[in-house]
Amino acid sequence: MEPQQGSDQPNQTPPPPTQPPAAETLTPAPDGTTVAPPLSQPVPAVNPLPSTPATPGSTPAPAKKSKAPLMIIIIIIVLFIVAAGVFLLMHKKSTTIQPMAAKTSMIAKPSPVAQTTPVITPVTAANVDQTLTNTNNSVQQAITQTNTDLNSISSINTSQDSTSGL
Amino acid sequence: MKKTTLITTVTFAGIMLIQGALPAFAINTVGGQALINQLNRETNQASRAANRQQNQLQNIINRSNTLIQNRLTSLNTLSSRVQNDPRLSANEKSTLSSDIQTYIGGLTALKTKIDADTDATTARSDEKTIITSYYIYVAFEPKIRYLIILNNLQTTTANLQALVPQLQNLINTFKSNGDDVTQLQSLLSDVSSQLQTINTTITNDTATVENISTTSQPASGTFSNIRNDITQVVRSGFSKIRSDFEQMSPLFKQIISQKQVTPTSSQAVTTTSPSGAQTTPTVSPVPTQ
Repeated sequence: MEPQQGSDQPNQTPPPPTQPPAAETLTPAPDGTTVAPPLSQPVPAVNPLPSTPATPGSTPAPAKKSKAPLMIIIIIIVLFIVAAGVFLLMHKKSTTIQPMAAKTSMIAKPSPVAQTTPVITPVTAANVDQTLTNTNNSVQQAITQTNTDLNSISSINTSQDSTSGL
Repeated sequence: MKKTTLITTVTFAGIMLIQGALPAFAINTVGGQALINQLNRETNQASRAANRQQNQLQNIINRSNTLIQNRLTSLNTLSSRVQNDPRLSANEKSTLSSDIQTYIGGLTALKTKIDADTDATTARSDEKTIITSYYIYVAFEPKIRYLIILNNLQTTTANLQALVPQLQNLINTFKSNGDDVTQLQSLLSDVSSQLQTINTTITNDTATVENISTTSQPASGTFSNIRNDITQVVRSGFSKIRSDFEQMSPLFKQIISQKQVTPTSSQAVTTTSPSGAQTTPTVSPVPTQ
């Protein structure tokens, strides 16, 4: 039950005034490392669980804990970038296929196009004679075509739609 | 005595036996053969009837296929006529082609059904629908061809109607310059009037043709009326318009040539700028000699 008590009491009671601060009592070792002096009194146990708040003497522990979420975030970002790349690639492919599909549908059934209004070149004194001549020719062509179509209608054998004899 | 009785009994029994067996012999002789002959006759008759029905069914199927093929050929020719028309708009072509394709699809499906018919009665009934459900020659083909004609004439009319204000602008310009445009104006007014009549006729006829049902025989005279309108109103109207244009051409030339002549009496030359419909005469001073 000791660790739980430690976790429930983040602000532990500071050591008695007779106890000097740990940093000040560090003595250099022969190999250059610092060695903590033996404590006269037992130091209360610090809870090593991740949920334990940082204590002045245990700074490395919280640094290790914060790395895991960072890694997860980095992985998520990388996955997102990869997914975005794949999506863009696929979208690019689909856009290249689309015109073919559109073309096929156009062949099957031509899409209706709005009838354009006739564009007449402005008639001026310079081109009025030519315009009238061209228009006359165009009208004559339309009449000729009409005559041809009327003859085609006349030549339809309507008796083929008779049900007598069936 | 007993011996006599025995002989009598045996003889009697023998006679009885022979009498009993006689009908059996008779079957194999005269009456039996007739029965077999009758049975054979009936069998042959049934077989001949089945063959006759089968032939009848096949004849109906063959005749139907010919009827359908003729119609499909006509419809494909009509489709080509629509697609190759230079005046029809894409929208008009699409609508007309769609109608034709619907009929082609319907007749093709009907052919499949008739080919699969197993009795002559059903086949004959289906054969009649080749005519009564489509009326290709009486209604559909004339309808489409008249619509092609009317659409083409409508396009020509629209082009002419767009030209009228352009000519009017030019006439106005000449008029504002003091030229005599009375004749030109009169001719152009006649063109406008003719176009209005043509347009009204075409619009009414198009509506009439579009309302013609192709699943029944059109009322007598329907197509004749359309033909009369086209030949008497539209065609003659266009002829008058052509005549008007032919008369307008020299009048325009005359006015234009008058403007290009340098007047000797005045010290200025009036030239007409051909830069647009709203031409304004520009006066350029002649250098003093």
